[in-house]
Amino acid sequence: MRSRGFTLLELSVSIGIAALMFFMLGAVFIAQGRYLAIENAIADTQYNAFQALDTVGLFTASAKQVVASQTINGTAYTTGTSTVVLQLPSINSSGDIVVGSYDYVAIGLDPTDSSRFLYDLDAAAGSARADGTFIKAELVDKLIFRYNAVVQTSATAIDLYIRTSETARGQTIRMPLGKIYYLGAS
Amino acid sequence: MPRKGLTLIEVVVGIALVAAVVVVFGVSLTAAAYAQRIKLRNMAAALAGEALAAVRVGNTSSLSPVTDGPLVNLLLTQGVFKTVEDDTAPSTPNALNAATSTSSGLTAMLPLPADAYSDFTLTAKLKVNGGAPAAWKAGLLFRAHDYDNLYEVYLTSGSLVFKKYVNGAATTLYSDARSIPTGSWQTLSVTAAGSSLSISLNGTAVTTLTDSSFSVGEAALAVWEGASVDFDDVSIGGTTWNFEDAALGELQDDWLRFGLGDLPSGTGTLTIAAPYASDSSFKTYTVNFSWTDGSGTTRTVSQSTQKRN
Repeated sequence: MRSRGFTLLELSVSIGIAALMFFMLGAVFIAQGRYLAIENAIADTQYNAFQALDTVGLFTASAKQVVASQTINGTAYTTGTSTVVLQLPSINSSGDIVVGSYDYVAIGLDPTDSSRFLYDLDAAAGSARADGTFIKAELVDKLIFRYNAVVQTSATAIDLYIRTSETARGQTIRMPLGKIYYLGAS
Repeated sequence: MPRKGLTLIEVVVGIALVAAVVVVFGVSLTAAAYAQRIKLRNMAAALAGEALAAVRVGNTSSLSPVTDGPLVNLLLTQGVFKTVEDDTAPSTPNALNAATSTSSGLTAMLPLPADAYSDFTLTAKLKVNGGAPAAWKAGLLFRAHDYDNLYEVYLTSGSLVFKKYVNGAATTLYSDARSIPTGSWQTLSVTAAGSSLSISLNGTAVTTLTDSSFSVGEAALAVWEGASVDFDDVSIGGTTWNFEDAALGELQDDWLRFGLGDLPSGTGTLTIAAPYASDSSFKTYTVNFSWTDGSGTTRTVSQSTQKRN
């Protein structure tokens, strides 16, 4: 039997169908890429917001009080809406409190980059806590500390509001979170 | 010449290709919806943790078993507050609008920026927008500790009312009859100086009385029964907000708070049970935070703790 080639019409229809398939597949994969980017942004914003919450919880649980201001590792920090300075009883390597000795920690926005959340800790001599500045979260959009007393240093609770945000494929993903921390309560 | 149709294998491959496209698209959509659901669930869980922490540190000796009662030792924002254009606003062009998707009780509440106000003069201009339910109420909370311990002063269509709640028990400290039309701006003011509490409306003193139930607490804008209300020129302790600095649809930065308003149609309740008949001081506290997701389904996060009075 003699084999027959494609007619022009068959070829045109085949190319048209192939083009349609490529268009559909392309649209699907573009959409999938967009969803993936948004999911990543949601995960990023959640992770960073919870990192900030965990950090404040870690230190307020062992804090003695809020202090008005303190110079820590060469930087002067003042308690306010974007930073809180806490006085912590020092602990030794066994985890026991060192009587009469205090560490100080400033928690809040990085003074040099307001999209970062850090803590800066000044440990007393003999304290087991590690000195230094530690970046704990990024993507910070808004951060507010509030206090349950008119005079901040009399506060027994600190109310943290944090919002992280990231833009993915033109869409801004925001993660607002907050918590009230009671000093000395875990 | 005989016409030739598609072979079985061609049909199968074609169907498989279309199915693959649909599946990939469907999985993407589902994954995105799931990520959003997890995000809201984590937010609700954070609120639940906060509400239980407030139970643990607060005085709970006066609390009795209740199902789906108000949260204690904690005030959370409710409803949606956002900056809107209002050509009638005292400070044009913007005002702060309170709205909600719920329709009974306290439906929208936003504390002022600080968590503690003691002695102050608190003033807010407010306008109840047209279409409000006949039973609308709008006003201020002050020296508030939680939903059951606070002072509140509010306007209705036919009255001005000043109340206090102590452990959930309401006492009307003052009320009078007056006509408050919707669509008109009213200036409501409270001056708290120690136990002396004064109320004025549109610059005219209404009442001054003495009450020492609460000396410090939060101050808040409050709306009941699902009304849409615009607030403007809110001031306390010498600071005034006219909401001109915020972008439309947003809240001014220092007013941002995490609360029920961050969950779509969010609600939060506390259920208290005394499971041991022989020891009623030992109670179980369960907080339930619910919201409505994109599909219209109500989701709930529950957390519990136990505590002896």
